[in-house]
Amino acid sequence: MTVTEMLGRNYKQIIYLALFASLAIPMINPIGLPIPIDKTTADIYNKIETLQPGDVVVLGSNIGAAIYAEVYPQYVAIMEHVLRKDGVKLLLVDHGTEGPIFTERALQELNVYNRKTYGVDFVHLGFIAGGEAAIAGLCRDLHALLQVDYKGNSISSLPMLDDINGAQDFTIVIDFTASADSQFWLNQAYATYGTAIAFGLTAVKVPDAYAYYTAGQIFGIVESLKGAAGYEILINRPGIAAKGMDAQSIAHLLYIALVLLGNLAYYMGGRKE
Amino acid sequence: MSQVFKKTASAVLIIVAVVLTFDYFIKDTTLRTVATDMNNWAVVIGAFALGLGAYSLVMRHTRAIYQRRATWPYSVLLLGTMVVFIGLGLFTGSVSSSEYNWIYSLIVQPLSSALYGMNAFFIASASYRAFRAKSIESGLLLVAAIFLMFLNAPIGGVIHPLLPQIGKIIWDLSGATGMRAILIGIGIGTLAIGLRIIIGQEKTPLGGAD
Amino acid sequence: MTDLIMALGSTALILMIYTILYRENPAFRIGEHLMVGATVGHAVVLAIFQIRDLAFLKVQQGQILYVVPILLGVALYLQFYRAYKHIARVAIAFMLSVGITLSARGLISVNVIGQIKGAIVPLNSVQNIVYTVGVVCVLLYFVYEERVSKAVGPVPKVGRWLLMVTMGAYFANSIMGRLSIVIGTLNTVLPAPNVYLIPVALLILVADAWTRSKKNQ
Repeated sequence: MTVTEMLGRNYKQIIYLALFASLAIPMINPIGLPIPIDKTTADIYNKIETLQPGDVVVLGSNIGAAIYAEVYPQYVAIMEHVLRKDGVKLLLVDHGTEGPIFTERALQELNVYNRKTYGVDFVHLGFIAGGEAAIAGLCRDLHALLQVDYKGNSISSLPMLDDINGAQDFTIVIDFTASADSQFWLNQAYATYGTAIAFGLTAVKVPDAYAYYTAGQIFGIVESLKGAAGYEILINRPGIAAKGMDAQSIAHLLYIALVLLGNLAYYMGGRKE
Repeated sequence: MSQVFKKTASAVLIIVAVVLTFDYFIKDTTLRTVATDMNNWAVVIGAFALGLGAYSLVMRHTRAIYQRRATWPYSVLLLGTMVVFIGLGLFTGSVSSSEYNWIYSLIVQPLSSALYGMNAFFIASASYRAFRAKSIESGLLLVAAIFLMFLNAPIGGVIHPLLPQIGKIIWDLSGATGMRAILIGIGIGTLAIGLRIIIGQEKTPLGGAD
Repeated sequence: MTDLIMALGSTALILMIYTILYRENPAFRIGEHLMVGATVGHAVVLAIFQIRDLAFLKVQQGQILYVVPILLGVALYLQFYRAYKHIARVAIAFMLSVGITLSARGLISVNVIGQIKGAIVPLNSVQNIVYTVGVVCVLLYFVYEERVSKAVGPVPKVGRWLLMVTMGAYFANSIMGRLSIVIGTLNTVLPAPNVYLIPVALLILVADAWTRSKKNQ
């Protein structure tokens, strides 16, 4: 078998190895490429900077293990930013089955239980089943929907929730998801109550959300790992997101090269497959 | 008897839709209470629906084990894992207990990430082998994708500042035209199909036509 | 010790899944079935807690009417039995109706009116003119598709081209998304001592390839 034949037959394995190398090498030896900050990310930062004591920030989470690498760093960065604003209330709600695990993980990672007072500064409502009906119920009347929070504490025993009945009391909602769940907050909180909404999304969902952003229906988007890296820089807390961007760059170059090489081979080979 | 339930289902479809629609437009305390209860009942039913997949899976894999099909050891593994997670979750009383978190981080997190991440490799080999600019449309798609990749990757701006700028123009164009039109289409389409289901024209979601 | 088991265990599971890139094999199947079992088990645990907190607690506190959704929820499971399938229809109908009506209420103002408002911009720049005309072209493409019409001429074709540019955006973003997930797995695999499992995995694959080529000969 000639080298050309071997390359032609085993091209898949060669491409897989090349992709692995293009990701692994920059992760082991970072290049240090500058990370640009998108306007969509900066808008969320600026909005949180304008929050006043007493404002209520709702962080919705549909973070799962599959999208952990993309969305969890965004979630942690934004939660940290909100926690730095004294007097701002944080309400955490999960509408994905794996959400509670990652919400609690973020709370532990940021040491929130020691920095703030549970029930006064922040509340974790936990997972609520039912998809859009759950979000609708939360926005309509939180106290009618839920009896207990994630820890099993009675809702009525939490002082923070005395003045929070529904979406009319939310200042901003930032939802972290990979699926059509983001539409639920728009349909229920924004459409009915005019609540300001932003998203933290995986890259695949960003194109849809961008149309909402340009129409002024959402005030920001944290776009995948890139957005998370930008947000970490904005709050001066570099984390795992920033480390992954060099690998993203080199791997993107590989993809571009593969598309161009493939098309070159196709046209030079007389358009034969 | 089945006809009674089918007629009840059709009636429920319309009544609930009417109540929730009127609640949106008319501010009435009684209507709001009824609508809130309907909403919260749907949340409870949604909680029951979470177990449907498990029920179906248990039935299928139990049958596979009983009939000693070729894949029966995998079925044992699947059901065993399920029982372990359910047992641990109920025993510790929370999915955030340290024990549950440990086993979740050991099993679900790496497997889920790897399964979804596999696609990156398949897209890479498809980029070389399958993505051909054979027509104007496919050429446009690939050119747009290339410039957008330069926008997404920080290295694009390092190679030449013009590359991400062109990418940004393409991104704004696609966002303001294609994506917008897709969302309008989704909105109208969802409304149309929803109306068809409620008035009974579309029977598939309820289990097929009579 | 548990940290070491966690590190090596998760790395081994990730590598087991990635063996599918070589070929279909039992290691991948084991990983796949482990994941499905764990995910479904997790959903069941949450379902039990949710039913307890959202329904049974309320019934205990005197809201007797919540027996109705409990019964409807149980009725959902009757869809697996041919003789009782029709009973499940009521529960499905209830959920469907609530879901459709809630989303329709929001979709009209968000997706339809909101997006149309976003598309209607003052035509005082080339950019705005291009964007407005572009949306109309794509919508006309959705209506006419490949059909030829004297009324609109080649306009749907322009819409198709713009749609292809949009698909390019989805493709590029899809790549970024998948790469981010792989980077996440490499964050687990690359640190020592996990990284030492990679040559072990490669040796196993090479041994398998060599054995298979010998068998074929």
